[in-house]
Amino acid sequence: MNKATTKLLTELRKDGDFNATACINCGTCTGLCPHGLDILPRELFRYVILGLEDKVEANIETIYSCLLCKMCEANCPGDVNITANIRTLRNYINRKHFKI
Amino acid sequence: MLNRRIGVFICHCGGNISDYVDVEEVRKSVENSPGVVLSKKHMFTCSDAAQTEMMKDVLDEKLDGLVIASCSPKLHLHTFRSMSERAGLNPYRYVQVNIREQCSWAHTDNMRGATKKAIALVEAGIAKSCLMPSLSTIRVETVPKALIIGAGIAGLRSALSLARLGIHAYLIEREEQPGGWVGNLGELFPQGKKGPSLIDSLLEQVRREEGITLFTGTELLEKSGNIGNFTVKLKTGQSDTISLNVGAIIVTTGFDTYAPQKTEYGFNDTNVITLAEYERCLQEGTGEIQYNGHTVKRVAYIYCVGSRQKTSESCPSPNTQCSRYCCTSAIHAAILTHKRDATVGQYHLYRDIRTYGKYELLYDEALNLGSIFLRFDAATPPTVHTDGQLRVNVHDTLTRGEEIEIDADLVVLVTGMVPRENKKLVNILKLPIGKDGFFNEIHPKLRPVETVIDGVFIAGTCQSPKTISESVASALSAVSKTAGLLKRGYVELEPLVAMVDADRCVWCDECTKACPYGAIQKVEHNGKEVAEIIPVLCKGEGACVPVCPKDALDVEGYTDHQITAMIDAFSKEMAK
Amino acid sequence: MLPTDISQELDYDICIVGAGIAGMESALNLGDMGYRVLLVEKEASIGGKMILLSKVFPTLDCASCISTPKMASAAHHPNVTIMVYSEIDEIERKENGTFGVQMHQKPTYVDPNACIGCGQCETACTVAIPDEFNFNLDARRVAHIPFPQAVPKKAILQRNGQSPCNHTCPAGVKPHGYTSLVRAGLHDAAFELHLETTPLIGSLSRACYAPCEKECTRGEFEGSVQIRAIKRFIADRYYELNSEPNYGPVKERKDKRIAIVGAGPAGLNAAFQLARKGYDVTIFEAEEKAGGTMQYGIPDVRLPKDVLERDIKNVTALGVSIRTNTKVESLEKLKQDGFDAVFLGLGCSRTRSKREESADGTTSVKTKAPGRVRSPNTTPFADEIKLAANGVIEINKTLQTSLPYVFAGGDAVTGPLTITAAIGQGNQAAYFIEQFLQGHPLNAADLKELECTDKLAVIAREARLSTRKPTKLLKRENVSKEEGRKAAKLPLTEEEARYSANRCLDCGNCSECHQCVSVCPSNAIDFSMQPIHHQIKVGSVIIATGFELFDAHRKPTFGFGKYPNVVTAMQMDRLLSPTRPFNSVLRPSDGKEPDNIAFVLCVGSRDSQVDHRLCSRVCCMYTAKQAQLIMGSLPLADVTIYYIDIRAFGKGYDEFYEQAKGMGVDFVHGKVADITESSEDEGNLVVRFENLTEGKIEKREHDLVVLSVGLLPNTSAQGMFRGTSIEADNFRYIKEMDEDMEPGVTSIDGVFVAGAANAARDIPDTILHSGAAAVQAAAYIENLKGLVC
Repeated sequence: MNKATTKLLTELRKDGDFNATACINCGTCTGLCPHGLDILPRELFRYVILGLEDKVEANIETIYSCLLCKMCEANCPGDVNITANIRTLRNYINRKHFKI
Repeated sequence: MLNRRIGVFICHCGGNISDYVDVEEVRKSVENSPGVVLSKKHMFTCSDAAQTEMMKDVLDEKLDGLVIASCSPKLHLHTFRSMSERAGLNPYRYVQVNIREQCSWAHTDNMRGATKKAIALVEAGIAKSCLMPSLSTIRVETVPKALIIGAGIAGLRSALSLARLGIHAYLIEREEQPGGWVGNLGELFPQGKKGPSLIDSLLEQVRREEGITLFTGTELLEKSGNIGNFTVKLKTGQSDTISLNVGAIIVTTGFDTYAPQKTEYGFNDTNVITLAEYERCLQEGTGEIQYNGHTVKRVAYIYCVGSRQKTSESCPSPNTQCSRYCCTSAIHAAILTHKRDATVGQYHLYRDIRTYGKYELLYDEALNLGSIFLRFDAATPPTVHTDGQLRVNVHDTLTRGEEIEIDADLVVLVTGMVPRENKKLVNILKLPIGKDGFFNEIHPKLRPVETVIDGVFIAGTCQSPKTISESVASALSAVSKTAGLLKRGYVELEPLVAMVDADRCVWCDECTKACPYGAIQKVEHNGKEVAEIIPVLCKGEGACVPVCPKDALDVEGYTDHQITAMIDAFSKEMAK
Repeated sequence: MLPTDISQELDYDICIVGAGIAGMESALNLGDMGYRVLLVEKEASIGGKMILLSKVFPTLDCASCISTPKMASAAHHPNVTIMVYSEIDEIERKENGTFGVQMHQKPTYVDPNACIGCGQCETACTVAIPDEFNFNLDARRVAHIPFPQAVPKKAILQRNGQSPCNHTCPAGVKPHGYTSLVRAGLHDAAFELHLETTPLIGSLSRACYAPCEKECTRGEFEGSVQIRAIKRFIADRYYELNSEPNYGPVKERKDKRIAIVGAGPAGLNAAFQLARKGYDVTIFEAEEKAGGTMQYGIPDVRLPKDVLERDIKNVTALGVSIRTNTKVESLEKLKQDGFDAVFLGLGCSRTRSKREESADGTTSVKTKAPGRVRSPNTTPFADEIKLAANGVIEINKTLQTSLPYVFAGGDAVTGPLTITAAIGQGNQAAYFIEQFLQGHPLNAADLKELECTDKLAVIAREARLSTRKPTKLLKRENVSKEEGRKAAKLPLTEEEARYSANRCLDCGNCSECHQCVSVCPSNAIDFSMQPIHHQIKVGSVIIATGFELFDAHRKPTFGFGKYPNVVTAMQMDRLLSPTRPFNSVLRPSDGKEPDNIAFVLCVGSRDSQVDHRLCSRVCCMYTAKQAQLIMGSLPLADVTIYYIDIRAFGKGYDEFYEQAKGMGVDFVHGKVADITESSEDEGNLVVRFENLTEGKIEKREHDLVVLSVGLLPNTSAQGMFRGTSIEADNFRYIKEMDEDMEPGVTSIDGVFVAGAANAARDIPDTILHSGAAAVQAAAYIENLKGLVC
């Protein structure tokens, strides 16, 4: 059972732009991703939106797997800036987790 | 009978009939029946091309009777009657035989049986056609006035449009204050108008308009008469009544909102409210939103409350309909909330987001303003906990069913529209009610504002859930049908009414008791009292026929002679 | 103030643009109210998109069953007039609030009063084009009846300009026509078609410079159609089988006599055309033999004289007498001899270069005269008719000389040109001579033909039809070098001719092969039809132009156009409809009945990437409908629907959705990300998507994929208004200025909008909206009448 919170989103935004509000949860991005990792990127962004920090922490490898190839972004019906979001997430993890 | 020239046409109905009935066999079987000079088949008898061919056959073959075996007369009786008229054949000499709903569609698993039955039905139709005389419609002058029941947005708008077309509108409203729901709503989507000011401006126009008479605190007591010329009795105030003559009636009595049960989603808690209540709350004040004495910083919306329900123990007679307006309305409320106080966190728990068409832009706007949407499956709805901090738990299908808990200051139940109870009105007007409890139209696709009661139209949310602009379009559509009916100055009624053989009648009064339309009166004929039919009131229902001890009554188009001939023809064929 | 009965001045009270369900519903409503309605439709039949559907949701009524009576009612309503195959050019709002509508009826090339809708022309037509009513699933003929329930049920010839080859031929020959006939194996008919224009078929097949081949659009691909070689095949074959023409002089004679001076191509052709009309024609030829340039100017190796002679027999068989060795020097004398009209086909004669002896007589040198000078043989007539400085005859636009009864054509008029051009002038002159003899005014515009097809559009179209593989140019195999050199001169075999003819792209659609003309029992085909322009005064306008479907090619990830078994929902609806192109639901690649069908929702809707973030409103429902119909007609099939949200919001809609689920349709939450072809099962497709319920990426194989395409605005009405434009919203739909309270009211006072022209709508909402628009228009008219202030 997880508590919904906007704290994570607020914290993340210190490390750059993060905006996945336009996501209508269609799954196109995840479907097209050459990696084929089930949570990349839609569900991952959802963890951020809902504030499920432990899930974000548990999937650091996935976050760094992204090739930033933009296959998802080019086809996103909501025009979400997916690569910018990934970069911000990485900055956040660098700061919070790896303490860089 | 042998001197008749009847043409028979069998329809394939594009496969709807011919997939289950051997149309060629039917055609061949009746080719040489007594009275028949022509037997043909068509892919779609209702199409213009087929009608042109049939008309040509009527002229070339000098047909004096027509039998078309196709679908239900409910669909094309008038189509083929007009066609007959255009061909110079009296429209009542055309007989429709239903071999689709009553044959092909009912026996999709038995082609031989269905074909035999179709032949029998057509033979019966031919037998009837041999006995059908030429008839003329009954012409009735119409009154260029209409009664509109319910002065909500649909009623007000129809009144204005009717008046602009030169038809006087009597607009009655049960409450003291007209305006319906819209009068109590705040900012409306999608143009941001305010409900009360919208109603005020409409009312101002209504009051200025000479062609509209508005009665508030008024109800309908009685309706009598016929299409084009009804007499309606209204109760205004405590005990006053007033009688009016109108040509048509438009029902715009609106909807009710679903009232959640106390146990539903914690509705007994004061901070669990309906969308309507939340909207009212949003109208008050500026800046931070206050409810029940506390500031609202977190709102959780639960969608589909009271709509799209399934049968269950707690819900034995479910509201299966989607209420259409609520997804957009809730999302709009979220946008208004955000505009008022951008720090409010809003969570929407939904099954499907139904912001159709242009309303999708509102969904996009709400998303971009920060509303968060979680999806649940109907089988595992969210649970509301009212002990301690108000919170909602949901299994979010968008994160593989992860259980998310949301702390809230307010839980808003997005309630749907349900039909408004009005047994009295339903009885007076004999309004048909559909499976979903809303008033029933003749055909949901092509005739959404007309009912089977001649001259009575339905518009707005009393027919089905709608948004405001949809209600207005519906209201104007009803005005369109009303104007089409009344602007000509007369209507033509069916001549298939009852007839009395005055010589046989001994005035025993049994028939008047049987007639629900009051269409029989006593008159003098050759020194004795006999019954007489009032044609404009008679519906040709036939309840009077069997109760007459002297066999003095018959219904034109369904005479004993005709029915007997039909039964004989049918059974003869089935016995083969 | 306005005159109280402005309606007296109006032709119609309301003009409705578009006769789909919205247009028809508004028309019927207004007609019932007593207003006079003009309903204008750009297609050849009313009915819009609805008549093309199979069944409609949520009642599953057969779409034809419920729309044909509306169509028939609209067609027969005493207050409604319908104009089909017509387009609005411009609408102007007048100061008094009424509207001037300029429109034209496009020529159908079939007289609607004569046409009985029998369909013979369709059977006889030799050109097949993709059928747009079946969304390119199959082909239909150019001469056709739009569909069986068309209202009105009349044939039309859907021409796309005149094919470049037909357009460019100076002689007026229809190469597309005879090529199409050869393609169909109708070689005799090909000869007869050519004969309609000229008897000199054999000669042209050797000596024509073939401008048609230069214009041939196929030339932009691998190479032109070998039109002249096909002509040669036609001529040689026919002459092989028929050493004499199989006709004689025309029985019905006209009592006028015509003299033709010069038996060259111009003169022979003029003689042929006039003799066919029954005139008495005599040709006077100064030389020993007939033929002009063809006889004396072209060597035998190029144009064998026996071919020329056989061609000339085509003329003489009509009773034309050719008096060779007879020089005419006086036009006045011809008149005195009883000729009512004269055609001068005098040609030009050649002057050879001279050899000059040198002064001492030892050598001879060719003079540097400019080659073989050709000068018109017009000198004898210099004082009877006006000549230009260089000796050519001066004529007006109808080929008439300064003497009214004398016409002229060919080299003597144009200067040295081509045989083909001369033939053309002979034909034209024959037409004007007949007009002259009948006492009609001479009008050059009579011979105007359709403008040329847009070749670029044809090239683009061919590129789009990616399933058409280009055919190679005809090559002869196993031939020796010697024979190879001769190959260009050898005639084609029948197989080669048909192969060659099959490369034709049918640029202008109609080939003008005239097969329809020959079979029509009512003589209804009329190639001379021109657009008919109308200026109409109306009180108000309703725009009901409907919607466009999203073009699925714009989403290349779904493979439409690349994989044959990816179809659009409209194609699927056609496959399911009672007027379907095939007997059951088949998949395009191999005609197999599919048993595992996928539907992809939100194709082109809710999608910023194609600039259409809106929801199209009807796709969830029509998909559920198609799914139910498929489960009915293919009971063993599996149907899967991939979605983001299911929008079943109307009356009875959610119940319909539940019903589909109950029938076993698999609704999968997750939009399809992309589609590829299966590497194992031929023609099958693999869809890849995130299964949101499971939270996993999945691939599933299907044998047919249907793309549920969205609705886009039809923007054609927006340029219609003179001096102003009708306001569109951000999505290019026609905007309602107050959509809450005033449905149908646009930015132009008196112009209303109904149905999908204003926003994507389903049929029930369209009916309501159209009723509302009708009432708005009615109120506007009442205002004009001044009855209600």
